[in-house]
This record gives sequence, C-alpha cells and structure tokens, in this order.
Amino acid sequence: MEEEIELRQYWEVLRKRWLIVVALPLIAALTSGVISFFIIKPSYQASTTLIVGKKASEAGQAAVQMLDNSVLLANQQLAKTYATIAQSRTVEENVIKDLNLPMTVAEIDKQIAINQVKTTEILEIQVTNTNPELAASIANTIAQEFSKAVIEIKKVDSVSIVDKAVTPDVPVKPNKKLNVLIAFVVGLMASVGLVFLLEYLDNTVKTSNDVETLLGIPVLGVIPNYEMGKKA
Amino acid sequence: MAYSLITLEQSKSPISEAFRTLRTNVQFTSVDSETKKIMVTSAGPREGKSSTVANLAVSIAQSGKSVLVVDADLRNPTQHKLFELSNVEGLSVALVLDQDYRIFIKETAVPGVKVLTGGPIPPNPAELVGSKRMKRLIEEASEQFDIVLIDTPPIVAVTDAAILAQEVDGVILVLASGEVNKDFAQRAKEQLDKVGAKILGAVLNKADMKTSEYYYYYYYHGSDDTKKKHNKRHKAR
Repeated sequence: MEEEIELRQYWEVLRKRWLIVVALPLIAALTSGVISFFIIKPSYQASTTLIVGKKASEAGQAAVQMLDNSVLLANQQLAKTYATIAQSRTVEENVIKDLNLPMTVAEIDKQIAINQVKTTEILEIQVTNTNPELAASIANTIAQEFSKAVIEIKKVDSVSIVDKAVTPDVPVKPNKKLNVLIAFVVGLMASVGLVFLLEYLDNTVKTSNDVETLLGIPVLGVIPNYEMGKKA
Repeated sequence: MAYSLITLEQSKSPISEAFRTLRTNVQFTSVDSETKKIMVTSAGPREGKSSTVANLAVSIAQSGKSVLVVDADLRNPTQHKLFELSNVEGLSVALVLDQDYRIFIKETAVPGVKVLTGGPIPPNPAELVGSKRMKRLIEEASEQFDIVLIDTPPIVAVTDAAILAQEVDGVILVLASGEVNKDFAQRAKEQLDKVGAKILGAVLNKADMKTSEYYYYYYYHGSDDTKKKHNKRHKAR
C-alpha cells in the first residue's frame, strides 16, 4: 500500500510548492541568458594548420620514405614535439613582440591550443580571442614564429602552411542556447531538490494519517481550508 | 468577516458538509456515555478553535438539538464576534459576581444556538476558569442544554484548558493542518493525558482540499479491508 501512495505523494509535494518548481528554473535560465547575451564578451576562434616537412636524406628515396609506415608513424610522433615547440615561451614571446600585444606570456598561452589533427602529421594552431582579427593574426604569427624556431631547433627543411588563419565571423563562445538550457535544467533539478528538502524539514501535522499515527487519537473531522476573514 | 459562520451562510457548501460529518462523528463518540459537555482546544493559537466551535454548534443545532456555546477563552474571547453579539457582559462577570449565568446567555440568529460570551477580560482567567463556580456553571448548563460546547485558550500556552478538561465529558483537539508542529501537537495531547481528560478526537482544520479528500476518503472507509480494495481499484485505473 505504501509504495502505491508514494508516487502520488511525490507529486503532491511538487504540486504544493509548484511556484518554486516553476520559478527557479526560469530565473536561472533568464540569468544565464542575460549573462550570455549581454555580459560575456563573445570569443572568436581562428585556426591555421601546418605541416612540418623533412627532405629525404638521399635523393630518390623520397617517394619510398613517404610511404614507409614507420616513417609516417615517426612523423606523427614528431608532431607532438612540434606542438610543444609551437607553444613554447620563446615562440610566444616573439609573437607578443611581433604584434606588439599588451599581453603577458601566460595570458597568450591560455588563448592558444595546439593539436595534432587526428593521426596525421598536420598541426592545428587554434587561437581564441574576443577580437576576431587579432585571433587570426595571432594564429598566423605563431605559425611564422614556429617555423623559424623549428627550423633552427630541429633542423627541419620547411614548415608549410596548409591553411592560413582567416578572420572568424561567428563567435565560438558563449554558446547562448546551450547556456540557457543548462541553466534551466540545473535550475529545475535544484528546485525539485529544494522542494523535497523543504518538505522534509516541514515538521507539521498535515493529514489525518499524521494525527492518527502521531497522537493515536481518531480524527473526527477534516475541515477544508476556507476564508475565515478577519478574526482578530 | 467573510463566512465566519459558514455552516449558516453556506449550508450546502462542502465545508458545511465537513462540519456535519464532524457533528455526526462527535455524536458517535458518545454512544455509551452521555457526552454533553465538550471542550474544544488546540495546541497553539490561531488554529481555528473558535470558528470550529461556532460552526459545530450551528451544525448540532441544525440537527434539532439545543446548544450552548461557552466562551471560556477569557484571554481572547471571540465567540461574540462570530455570532455578532455584545460582549459587555458574559462569563467573566458571571463568575466574578457569582450571578446566575442564565441572565448572561444570549440568543443568536441561529435557532437552537445560545452563547455565553466571554465578557470583559479579567486579570485572573485561569483562576476563574478553575473555580468551583465555573464547575457548577458547566454542570447546570449541561442539564439545561443538549450539548454544551466550551471554547478555550490553546492548551500548550496556558493552563486554562487543562483545568477545564477535567470538568467536561470530552475534549476535541483542533489541529491546523500544515501549521501545527508535530512536537507541539504531541505536547498538547500529553497535557490532556496528564489531567486525565477524555479526548474524543481531533479535528484537522485548514486542510488542503485536494490532498485531504484522498485521506478523508480513507478515513471514512477506514477499515483495512476496504483500504486495500480501494487501492486495487485505484491501481487498475
């Protein structure tokens, strides 16, 4: 008997404080919307891809080497090394110098992400900035500074740029719809939690069952709530 | 004052029906023994004692019995407001001056219901209520009327109700649903038990209509067998 009533009781608990259940997610969604639309500056992401090449040591071997699986694998492994070089302090410092940026190394470091594109030898330099043009120029400058650095350090022959960074026109952040949705869902969960907490903390006599189990006296009547007016 | 006496103003409303059910149940509690002197109290203030007393009185009168409502809540008399009577004189005066209470009894607009209002607020309500005069007054009144309903102050707050509880045939405890704390309700019951009062039962007041109906239904089909049957039907739907 208890289990059957239980679901109904849960519903009653929610129904009784429906205002909280409705209002809290809406307020959360609205707040998140205001923040996403008006307060957070949109961030733009520009990316450039490049490939680090190494000439074949002996002429004529190039084609064979290119197809050799182990060489390919080694190059893929090397891509990780190159990624670290690309995000090194030296490169970052040079980028700041080149572009005359009012940023510290740590600040620029946060905006940069260097990834190997899947299992290829290609590196992707991603720059996120609130200014779309700056994002693109930082990405391109990193590519330049990186090629200088890598040629010097690793004695590679060339760094070819696959795609130059272009100025992005759609911001990547904030994802307004997602933010609002997340806020709504989190708000909903919080409100349901709150309602049940309030119910749990509510130590009042509510039903005739309560009276009978608590006091062990019969309930002679249940009088519905009605407007009693002023009764000073 | 909207519907202070809903049993009178809207006698066909579900609330009036609830009071009629209460009346019937009170009558059932007194099958064997004569329960004529009934005291109504609650754990805390504002749980709806006075309006329960008044409406129950109207309900009982509507079944053709004579009822006397005694407002023994001398600290905060209310019955005169509900029945729209003067409260210049009343119970307190009758007790202090040791006069025949009968001259203070007032007719109401409801046939069959008479009210002994609280009267001016005395400095020593507990003493007056616990006096021999009060005891005699209740005794005499119960001979004159079919039912004597006594409105009292909240039992946990002051001693008046506990004192009176010893002089009556039964006590009804009014509990405001969603308002009265469980500990508080238990304390009220303990107080009554301590003085050896006969508790007729509780009235769950201010119940949430939608949830209460469900339990209400259970109560009136209260045996375990019917509960199970009812549940199965519920499940099948």
